[in-house]
Amino acid sequence: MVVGIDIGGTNTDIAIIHEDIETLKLPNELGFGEILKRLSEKVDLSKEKLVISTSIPLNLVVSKYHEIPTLTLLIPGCGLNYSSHGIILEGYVNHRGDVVENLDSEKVESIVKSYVNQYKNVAIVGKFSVRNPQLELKVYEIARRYFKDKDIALSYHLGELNYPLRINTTILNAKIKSAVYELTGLVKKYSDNFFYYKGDGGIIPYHVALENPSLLYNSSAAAVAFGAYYLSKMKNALVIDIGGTTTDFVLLENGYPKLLNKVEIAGKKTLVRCVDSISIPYGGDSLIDKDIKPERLDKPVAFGGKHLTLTDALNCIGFEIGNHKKSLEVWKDKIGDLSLAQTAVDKFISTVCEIIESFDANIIIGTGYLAKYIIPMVSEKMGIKYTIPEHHEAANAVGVAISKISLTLYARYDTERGKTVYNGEIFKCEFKKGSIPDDDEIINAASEKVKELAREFGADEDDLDKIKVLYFNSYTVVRGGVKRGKIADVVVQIEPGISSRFLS
Amino acid sequence: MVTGIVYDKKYLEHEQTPTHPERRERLAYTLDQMMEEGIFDYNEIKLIKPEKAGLSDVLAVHDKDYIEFLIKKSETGGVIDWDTNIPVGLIDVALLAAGGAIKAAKSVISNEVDNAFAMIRPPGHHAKPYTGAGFCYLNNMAIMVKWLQKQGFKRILILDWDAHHGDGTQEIFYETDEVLFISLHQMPLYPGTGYPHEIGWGRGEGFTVNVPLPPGASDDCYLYVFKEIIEPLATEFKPEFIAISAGQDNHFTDPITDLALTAQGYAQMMKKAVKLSEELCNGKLVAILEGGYSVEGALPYTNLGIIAAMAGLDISFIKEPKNYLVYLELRRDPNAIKKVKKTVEKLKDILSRHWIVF
Repeated sequence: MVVGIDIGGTNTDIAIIHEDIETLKLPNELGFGEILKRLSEKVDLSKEKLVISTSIPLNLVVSKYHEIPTLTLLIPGCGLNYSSHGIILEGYVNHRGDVVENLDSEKVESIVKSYVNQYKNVAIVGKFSVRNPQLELKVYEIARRYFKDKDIALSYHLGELNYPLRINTTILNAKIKSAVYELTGLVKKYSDNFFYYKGDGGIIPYHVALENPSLLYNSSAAAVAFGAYYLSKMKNALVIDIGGTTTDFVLLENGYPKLLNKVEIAGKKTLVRCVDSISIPYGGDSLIDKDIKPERLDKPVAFGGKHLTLTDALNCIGFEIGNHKKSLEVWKDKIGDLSLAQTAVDKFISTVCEIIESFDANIIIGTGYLAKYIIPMVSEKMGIKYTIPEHHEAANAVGVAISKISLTLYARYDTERGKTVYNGEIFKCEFKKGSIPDDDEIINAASEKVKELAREFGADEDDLDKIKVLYFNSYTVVRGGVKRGKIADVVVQIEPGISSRFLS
Repeated sequence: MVTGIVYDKKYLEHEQTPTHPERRERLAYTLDQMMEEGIFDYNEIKLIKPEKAGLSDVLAVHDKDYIEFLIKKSETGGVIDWDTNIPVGLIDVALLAAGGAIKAAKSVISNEVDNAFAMIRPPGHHAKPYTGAGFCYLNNMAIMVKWLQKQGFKRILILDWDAHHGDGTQEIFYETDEVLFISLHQMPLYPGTGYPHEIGWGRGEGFTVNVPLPPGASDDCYLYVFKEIIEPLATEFKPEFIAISAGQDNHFTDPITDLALTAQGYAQMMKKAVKLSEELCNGKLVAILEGGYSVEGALPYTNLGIIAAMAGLDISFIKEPKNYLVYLELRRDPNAIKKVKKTVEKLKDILSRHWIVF
């Protein structure tokens, strides 16, 4: 059994997949703790596989990006000028991962101490820390005396070379880490072994997400894309997910959503990799005040709310969603003219159609609670075919439940120094010190390591047969005219996608 | 300011033999530094993919027999001299290097970029029309300059800062007044040429300028020569294009030379060259890689310095890590500047017959 949860803007959708699919929708106003409690009454969460997609809470943090001040401590050493990015500390790790200039610990402590009241969290970013995290860890130990672990982010977990983008991503991580931390605390009361769903559609154990929470950015778009494909079996289509607060558009090509690299967040380029999606701030709970507005104040009148919404407008043009009679009653009272309901619905549909025109799509997969009401109207207006699969109202949660463990391994082998680095952490070299292994042996070592990690994380063996090599470069190290060893950089990946146990 | 970087993975991969100074490792740490600095994500930087030079462009410089020899030996491997052998497949990467230099020039004159750095291998400035030499096979600089002349450029300034005298480039342009060739190089050092009295021949007399530098010459010496020789000559010559053979074996950690330039000194020289190009020829400037064999201690920092200076980025933090400074103290000769001043005085005297500024 697998349980997938997607925390949306209005509701939390849950999919319980065993021999068949059971879905639940619970309002966020209950609080996530209560939602988990109710779920645990149906399913023993300590025993079953649990996966959570949490992009909406993270989006909320990101929307307040500039209101959350981050103390940015940089160890850039020699190179370009980073003083506009944060506070420069002495110290330098070079390209080889050698500490060639040391920190001044006293100076670092006095800097941190002087800023502790002005900042909510700390980002620590050292150049080449992905080859040796030693200096970042030293600064962490000092910062830890003044800030909690959940408010400190380090860059070496990101694994990738690119110092400016690591700075931007680590600052983002510093801002969102505590939200993931708190959520993790709630879930751990029920399950010690759960997963988070990533923005590229793969899943990772929660402790990996705590090291790099930016992996979770925009996960809902990925969830709905894979869920829509799985439920409809349509490989090439435009997925339109009509939620309470937003409507999201994701294009499927050959069963996969398109991925974007180096995504810009809060105006800064980062190392975030996530699904390419468009989101408009209109959904089922969008406020109607003569006209449809891009804000949500409350649930629809049809479900006990105080303010008229798009859902209520749909009831006023003949649909029967929730307490449809209440929608009509309140509409006549507050707005009067029923024809304005059609106007509001038409405006929403036009907005959706405008977005559809920017995609090259022959068929629409409609998901979300209101899909069966809205999508047929959209389809008629655009002249595009559509399908609304079973369980469409929780396609996102289904997508979360069916996905496989996916991870990227940044591996560096340096046999001259006798060390291996995996995702920023140093290990003893896989190969004998001073040896010159073949390129194939090296790629094999990296592939086996990523599989080993995935197995540790609980991956199904059948999900490990395809390892993608994203990057490879190797060269011999020569000093004094003699070969002393070999250096190789390899990036391997278990791609995101649907777990083989769900693919027939 | 947008700087083009002409680069292909094949430049990284070229090697004569796995233990030769010209081996795959040569640019590896430089690429590490550039990737970590996020160079390729800057708006001021544009990555440009090279194409192989056409044979007609190569034959504008080299003899047909020599090219046929290179092509043949590239199939099986061969030897030019004791430190320049021909690995299998060489002709492809050599043509790609020459083509990279041309592409850099093309990108500048078409205004696709303001200036460009061709990070090419193998190097070229020792190659002569009839032979390769000193790790070089095709003279990338000469091929690029001849291409520019074909486009109608009548006055081109070549600055060759590589630690070794650019004897190949000098020979190719020795008898023309359309190319002003200025070389700063260590003496004594391979190839043993490049004396102040070598000033060109016939129409080219006065248009070749050689500035030999003593071992231990550091930033002060280079900046002195720039001020006393390069700037005045360039101002009088009024080039339409400036091309730099940007060898980096003049660094204080280079294992096969004895000069003592620092990465900061290099960046400052580059910045001055960019300023000169802006004053004289609308910023038209291309730098191409030549030598440089201190793979960890120099190249990551000197190459970064070149790119930062060309792109107008801040160069104040361009330097080597502190653990290298002990080598600067051992290598640098504080008396070198006196010798350089004497050389410059003598050179001005020799050149005064040809240049009003002296």
